Amino acid sequence: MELSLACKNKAWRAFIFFLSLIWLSWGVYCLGSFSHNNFETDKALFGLSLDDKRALVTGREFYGFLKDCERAIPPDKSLRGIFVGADKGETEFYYYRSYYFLFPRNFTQDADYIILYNLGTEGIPAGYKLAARFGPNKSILEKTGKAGE
Amino acid sequence: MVNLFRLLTAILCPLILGFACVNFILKKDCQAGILEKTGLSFTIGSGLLTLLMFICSFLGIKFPALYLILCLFSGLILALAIRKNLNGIKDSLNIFRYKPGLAQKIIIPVIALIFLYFSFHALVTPLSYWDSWAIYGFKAKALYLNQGIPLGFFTDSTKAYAHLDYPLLLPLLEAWAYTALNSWNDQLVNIIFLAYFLSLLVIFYFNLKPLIGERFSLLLTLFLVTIPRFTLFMSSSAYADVPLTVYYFVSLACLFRWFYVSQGRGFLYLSAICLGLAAWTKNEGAVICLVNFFLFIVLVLARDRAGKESFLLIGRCAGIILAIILPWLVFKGVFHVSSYLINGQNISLGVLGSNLGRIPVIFKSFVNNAFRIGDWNLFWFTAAAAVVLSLKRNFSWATGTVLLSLLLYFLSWIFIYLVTPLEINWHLANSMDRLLIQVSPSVLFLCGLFASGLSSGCRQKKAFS
Repeated sequence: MELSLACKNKAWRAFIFFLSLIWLSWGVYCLGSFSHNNFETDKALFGLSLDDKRALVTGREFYGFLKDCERAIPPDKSLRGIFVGADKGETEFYYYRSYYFLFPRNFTQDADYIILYNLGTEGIPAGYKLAARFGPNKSILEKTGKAGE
Repeated sequence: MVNLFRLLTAILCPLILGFACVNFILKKDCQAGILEKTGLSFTIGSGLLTLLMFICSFLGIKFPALYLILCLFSGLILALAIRKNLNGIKDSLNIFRYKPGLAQKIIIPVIALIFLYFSFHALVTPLSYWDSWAIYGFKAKALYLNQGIPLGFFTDSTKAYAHLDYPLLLPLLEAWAYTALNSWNDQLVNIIFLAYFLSLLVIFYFNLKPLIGERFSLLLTLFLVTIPRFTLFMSSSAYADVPLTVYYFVSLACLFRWFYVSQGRGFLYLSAICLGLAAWTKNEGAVICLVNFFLFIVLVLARDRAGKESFLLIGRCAGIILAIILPWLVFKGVFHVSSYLINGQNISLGVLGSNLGRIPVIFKSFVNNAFRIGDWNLFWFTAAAAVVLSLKRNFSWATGTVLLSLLLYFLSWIFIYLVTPLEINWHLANSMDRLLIQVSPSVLFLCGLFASGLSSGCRQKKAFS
């Protein structure tokens, strides 16, 4: 048994009809606009490898740096990250994104390695030495185990 | 091809396990077709699967072993079900003889097209929304790489997992997908959210259909998917709010279904299971659990009068909910995991009183978010008008149940905003939107109830036959 709609009044039915028309038109327009604006990006993403997709979402340069760190630092070692972004939000993004990708390497204060992004190696902390450099302001410091070296 | 097969097992295993549970719970008394049962199956099955993973992890059973066992078990269930129910399967294939009318010929392809495009959009993009990778995705990776819950998960501060107090349904479900794929693939993991979204649409449609007919329930389903913010969030965000939205709606819909169908208690038990799983998904789910359990008590007593049977029924539902959330509560207690948001220091009359000035800010944020046509279409305008215009004429146990649940949930959020230690404007900017998404299917369902014209005290027993 199907219950009929409550409103028998023609004026109400007409109102609901036009409301539905406006709702659906606007909804389809908004979704259509989104699809139109994103279709080319989505189509481009479709053909890429998973790494390339992650690079697109993370930022190619920063993701490339993270891949270099992943190759250079063994998974059982600990890290500390020092990042410089355009603002606090970007710096936080670099920090949490590097933690996400470089895990299972844990981030601790007294770490085996320090990764520097957008930061030069002037003033290397005591107890660390330059382990690798991947470009200007992108480098890895390794713990020497001896303070002052 | 191997990846595709593995991806399908990530969805089919919880689906088959859920189907077995749903069939057992509903039995023959409750009327639900195969499509509706399939929607319910993934919803229930995925949640119960994660509970099994949580318990097995502490029993020393690693995820790959559990994956193999469950694949074999699901295959066995499927084979037995096919052998036992061959006639039933032949009957259910009648759906392929379905002859759509004009409205169905227009609406179903539009819904399908919207769903397919947003599925494509979700599946080509790795996790990109902040919480999706920083909180849930990160924990899922840790669980997957460890093949279970790491010993130091709750106690080792060097691990620095964010939000330890958040329940683990979503990270475990993502870890399940990674285990099935045998790789950490934070792109294909989005299929979980598409499965939840599709289940929601199916359950939404089938619960409205007996009330307002096929055409109008399809129309309301189309309304739901043409809310831009809702569709984009449910398909692509990969937040825990996605399963939470589904569990909240399904628990309400099943509770409503039980109240209006005289036979069996299957839908009541399903509602209780969804409440437990909501609490296992997010901390807000615990609030949903409390709110809707209060409604359980009211409706059971209203329907069957206060008596031994009623109290037994309430006790059974409480038992189901506790059975689901107890493992998590026990481990939180053992490892002293507490919430930074709701704890003894925040919740006091003094804090509440001193923050009453936040109320206008909260309502302003609600209005600014809800009435943005670009995000929400005409949804909240229509919902507000429907409530105001229909309340007097169409108020009944049905509409009252859903409305009360929504009101209590909104009030609980106001309470949270009043006691939150976070800066209020920042907290509102980062959560109000998601609160609106969590309740939108239930609000639209309420609009459907108003439209069905259910009058006060009227029980439409035949509606679901």
